[in-house]
Amino acid sequence: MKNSPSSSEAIGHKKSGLFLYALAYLVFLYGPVLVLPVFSFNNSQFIAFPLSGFTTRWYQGLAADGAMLHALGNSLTVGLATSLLSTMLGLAAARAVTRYRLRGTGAALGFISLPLFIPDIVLGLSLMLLLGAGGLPLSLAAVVLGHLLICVPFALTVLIARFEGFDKNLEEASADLGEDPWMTFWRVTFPLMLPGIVASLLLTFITSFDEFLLAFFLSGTEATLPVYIWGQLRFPERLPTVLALGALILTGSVALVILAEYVRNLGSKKTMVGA
Amino acid sequence: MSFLSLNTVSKSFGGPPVVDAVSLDVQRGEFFALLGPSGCGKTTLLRMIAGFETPDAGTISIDSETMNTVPPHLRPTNMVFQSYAIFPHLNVFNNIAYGLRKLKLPRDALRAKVEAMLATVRLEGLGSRAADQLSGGPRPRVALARALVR
Repeated sequence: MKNSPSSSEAIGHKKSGLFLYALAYLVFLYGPVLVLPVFSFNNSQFIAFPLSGFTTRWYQGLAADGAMLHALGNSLTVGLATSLLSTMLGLAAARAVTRYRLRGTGAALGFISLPLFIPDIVLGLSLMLLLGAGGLPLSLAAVVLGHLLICVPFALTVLIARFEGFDKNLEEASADLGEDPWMTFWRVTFPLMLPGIVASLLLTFITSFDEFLLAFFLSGTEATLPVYIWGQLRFPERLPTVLALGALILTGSVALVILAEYVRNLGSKKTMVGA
Repeated sequence: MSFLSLNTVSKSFGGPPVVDAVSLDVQRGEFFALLGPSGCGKTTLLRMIAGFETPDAGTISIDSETMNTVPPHLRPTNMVFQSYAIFPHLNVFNNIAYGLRKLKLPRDALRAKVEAMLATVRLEGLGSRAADQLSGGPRPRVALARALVR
């Protein structure tokens, strides 16, 4: 009993030390990101403290910037195509992996995930050379193909987890009650997979949307947004507009991730009880 | 001629046979029980009759028709799964009505049929309950009702 005040004090010290560390870590993580929105409202073309007044003119300049909006359109197109295709491919592969006993499943999964571990610069360069050797033009379609390589593994991971979350007897029960495989997919598999499908669409869209290296090598004359922004960095007077755009994208990305997590949790609750 | 007829049905999953040359006959309306210790192949036999596994040898026929190559959704069989396999995204009513879609019944007739089945398993008034909110007692009854209603 004599020791207790001093030992609880030690724990208190430990706790506050841990708290400070956590705080410092969060500042280190998110401090730099917050610089973006702050300077996007700063009334000066130079990115330096002290701040010199509030303005929305960079955001107004954004709306008038045709080339940037065109690049944004390109990125949205590529992102949508990539997310739809990789989620469809991922869905088929995830179903095969979780529902059938197939030979070479492990190897197939390994090879599908391999592009994640190959440096993007190697991937981008070799795809560019391959397209050139095949006489195919660099284009947004080429960017989509490149993005599929890195997005399918993400889609697959999310979807396999979801498939493992529900009883495969449910699909058999549907067949037993007279529904063919096609209707079973739409009446049972798809509704139960929906949270996973939404999460996969959002995850792959974001991955594609802000991907730079592959897009840089493969986009040719049609720049995606990250490639366009990179090109703008040569002109210092364009920087605040880029910051404004960055702030908007940041807001959109955060909103999408929060949405994805929300939908995912919604689904996992349901299967827990159903299992 | 018996209604369900199994003739020397065998099945193995790459090892020793799980079901070894089983023959049996069930008459229409007969109450038939299959008993045995765990792992003796009861479930495998049932799954072969329902069409989820293919026998390695032997024939399964229902109503004098050979079923070996008929997919599960075209077989006149209904099964209560060990895990009950109640659809978690549908309520109790829609779980029971699941297999009736193909009959294209008018709405009233469908409702009457499902309500009657709910009454048979003593689950009156639970039709709108979400399947994932069912407690342990009603779950097997929903699974049974879903299988019997067709």
